Amino acid sequence: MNARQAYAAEQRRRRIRLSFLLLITFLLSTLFLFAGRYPKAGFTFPSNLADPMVNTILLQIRLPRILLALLAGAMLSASGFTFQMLFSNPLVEPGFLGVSQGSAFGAALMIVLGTASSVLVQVSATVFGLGALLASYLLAQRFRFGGALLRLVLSGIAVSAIFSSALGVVKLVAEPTKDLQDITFWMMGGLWNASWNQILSILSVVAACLVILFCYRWKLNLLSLQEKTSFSVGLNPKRDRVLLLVVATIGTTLTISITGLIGWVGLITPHLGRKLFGSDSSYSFPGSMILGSLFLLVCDTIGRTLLPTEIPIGLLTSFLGAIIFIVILSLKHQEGKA
Amino acid sequence: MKKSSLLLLVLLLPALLFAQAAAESSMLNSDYYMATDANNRTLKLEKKPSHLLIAGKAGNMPANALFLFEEVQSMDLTLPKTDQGLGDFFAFIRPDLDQKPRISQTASAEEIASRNSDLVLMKATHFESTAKKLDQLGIPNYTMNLESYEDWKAELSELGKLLKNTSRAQQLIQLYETRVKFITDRVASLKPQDKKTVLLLQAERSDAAYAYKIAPDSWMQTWMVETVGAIPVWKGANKAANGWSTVSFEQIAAWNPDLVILLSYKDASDIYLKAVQTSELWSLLDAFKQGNVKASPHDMMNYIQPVASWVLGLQWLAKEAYPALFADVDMEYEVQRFYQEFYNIHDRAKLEVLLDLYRTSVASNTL
Amino acid sequence: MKALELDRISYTYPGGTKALDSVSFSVEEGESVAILGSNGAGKSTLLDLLLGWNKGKGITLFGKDLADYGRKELGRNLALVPQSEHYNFSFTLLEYTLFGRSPYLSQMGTPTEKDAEIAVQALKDVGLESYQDRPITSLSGGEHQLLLLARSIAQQSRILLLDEPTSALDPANRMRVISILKDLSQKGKTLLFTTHDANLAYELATHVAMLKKGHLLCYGTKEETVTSEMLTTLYETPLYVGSIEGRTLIY
Repeated sequence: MNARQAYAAEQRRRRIRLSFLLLITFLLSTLFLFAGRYPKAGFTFPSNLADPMVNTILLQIRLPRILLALLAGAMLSASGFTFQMLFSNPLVEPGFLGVSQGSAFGAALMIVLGTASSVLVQVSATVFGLGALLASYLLAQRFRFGGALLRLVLSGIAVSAIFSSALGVVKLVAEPTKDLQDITFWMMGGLWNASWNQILSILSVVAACLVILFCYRWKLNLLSLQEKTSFSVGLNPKRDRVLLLVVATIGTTLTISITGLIGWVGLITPHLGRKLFGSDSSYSFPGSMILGSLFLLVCDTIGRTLLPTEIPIGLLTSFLGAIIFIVILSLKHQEGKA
Repeated sequence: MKKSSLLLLVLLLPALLFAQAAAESSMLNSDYYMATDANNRTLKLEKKPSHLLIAGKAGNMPANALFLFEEVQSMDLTLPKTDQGLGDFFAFIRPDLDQKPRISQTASAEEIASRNSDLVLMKATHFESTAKKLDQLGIPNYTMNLESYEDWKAELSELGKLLKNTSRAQQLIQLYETRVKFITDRVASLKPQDKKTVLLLQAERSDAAYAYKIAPDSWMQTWMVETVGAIPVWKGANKAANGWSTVSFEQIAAWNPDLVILLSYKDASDIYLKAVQTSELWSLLDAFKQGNVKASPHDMMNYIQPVASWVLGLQWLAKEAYPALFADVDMEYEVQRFYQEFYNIHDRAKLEVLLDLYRTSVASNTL
Repeated sequence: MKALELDRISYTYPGGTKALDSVSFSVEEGESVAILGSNGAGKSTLLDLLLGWNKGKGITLFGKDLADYGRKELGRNLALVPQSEHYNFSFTLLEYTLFGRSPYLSQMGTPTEKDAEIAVQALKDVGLESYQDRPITSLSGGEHQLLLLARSIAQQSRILLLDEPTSALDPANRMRVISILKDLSQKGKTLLFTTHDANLAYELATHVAMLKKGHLLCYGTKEETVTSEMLTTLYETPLYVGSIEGRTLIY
């Protein structure tokens, strides 16, 4: 088998793996549709789907929740992966660069200033999320010491801290019986309130963001290199970077406006994706997206089934995420060797 | 004088002196306004406290207990925010309270000290943060828990000692005991299969999203449901011992309780009832179909929480769980009787305001 | 039609430093031009202008103004071998080489089998084909340079720009790179490379442009320009062009 054939074979293997992952996600989604707390905890396969309660629970509670988990998982992974490529640094996720804190502040501000109307809150969250991103980026340019990675992380910490304390101030002046409650609610989020309404409100935009990012799946590789290099092969790196960052941030802030702040997903799944599909983002990017959906699906299903009370999803993602991270790091085999 | 007599005198002298001293100290002790607080500290005041200050969060609870003693009405009082969102009870029964600005719930020990009160009351949760510091500054302070029935009985008794009004304290305890016994006696005869299952949910909302939470096992809310002879379905489910935990609708449906009570400590409870009445999901619940999803009663404070009116909540719960058994209980009468006997409110106009608030709170329950 | 025409190119950096002042020369297709000068002479600036990275007026590429080229179109005509590259992800050598195919892919596309073939051939051309599946992080310094070269070969551009192509290489790798570049030149590629090494200029180039403090000192064939006098003027230090065993050496 010559080199070209070897390459083609590897691509084919990756496509198969991708399809396999998709299949597993589909199967698990279907399986988990029958997991919950009604009529008893765990899996129940109703022999009688005509029971209106079961029907309603399946269609109005579990199905939207599962779909939201899949959508949010994909979006968070996609944006984590994008950030990592664009900043050429596998340890970045939007949360590090202040985007989560910025959006939280933006949402809180809108709630206090005006209205808890979802649309305006989402817009404000997105605007401030983008603002935080810009601030981190600009601040990093101003630092005079340390490598690019250190500068980014430091400025991300600084911007996060600023928005965090600004959020604290907003909470202090928030009217406690209504506004403060709304803010806490927004921040806590969680998937437990998933409804068709919620999903539909973000679906079109988030799906558009995912599609745009997906179209760039191969170019992302190039955007991880020096700008001059990607420029020299015919790309427009400045424009592409801005576009992708904005798209990833919009998708992320819209998602977390419903789900609240969920950490680790955007950090872990890109690593896992690269382990399974190699560093070439044309496969590891969609792979990460699917892994993200799978990860969030599993976490949320545990969160809503294991105990009578809801386990906060952030808890589960950090716990499981940390375990997976440790496992990945301890495995000796190289990245790229699929 | 004989030597023996002199010896006797010499021996007796210290005894006489001692007796004198003993007599003196026992007099002083009984003169003190003295009680043991929730953190097991004994507070000794030389004079009756006349400038009281209530500090910290959940200030409405110690205020609640304090106002049960008539003499407090005429004392100089500084209160923190006590309005839970439904109105301020204390300004209602004593309007001059509003002439003075309230103290912040997060005021520092220094700030509290600057108010020159001779007694500071607070919840025991503020022991580390506030009480200890006030001790250092020499400000007499007293903590209370008031989280359970036993707490209320014991701490009212101690409060009575502190104010040297033990008779009133005893009276209050009697009033509570009679009412509680009335209920427990009647439900004692209930057979296990006749017991109703009850689900108490604290509801919260933001925009169009609703959350329902269950109380920890050890809290008064759970105890109340058990005391009226009903079964709290959520017992054992809340792994977080310190607070309310969210449950999904699925879990609510899985429990399938006979009676669901929606309560809020920030809003009028019936807004949650109204939201539920238009919900497709809730309409599938048995309790809903039987008209057994109710809003919790309240006037300016919700009755189903450890404030003095918890006993009203208990009576109401008993009646909702076992209407036939408690058919002779007239809640409006009980609300009025409570305020007359516990808070000495006899002003018809004021009583009517409270009654009206109560009536409104449960109005949607019969729809 | 000339491959490249520079007409009084000047460039001032936003900070105020004037890096280039009225540089003019032209390059025929198939020629190899060494841009020679000491550090700070403006060599890199000139390369950046030719790449289109810095915007300048007066550059014509195959008869068309540089500014009129679309990104992809330019990528098909010009390739850059940078001095170095950072690697934070472990792409395989083949995957990396395939990046050079970018100007030929559709907007949302990914490399095809034909692209893979071209990339494999490019790796063969630089002698790295047996490493095709290895991660780029496992390469040595010299191998990195060869990989950068492979990527630009895969780009199949008519002109190749190289920034200090041998400065960091040991003698063996240096020879290898020179031999590959000579090969490319023979196949008709136009080469432009910056260097401060006069020997490299003489070995590899057909023409030499000497830059001193942003000015073009001279431009012409290497025989015309690489003389002791010119070199001494350029570097302001005595340099001699001599001959050993028939080969020209500068010392």
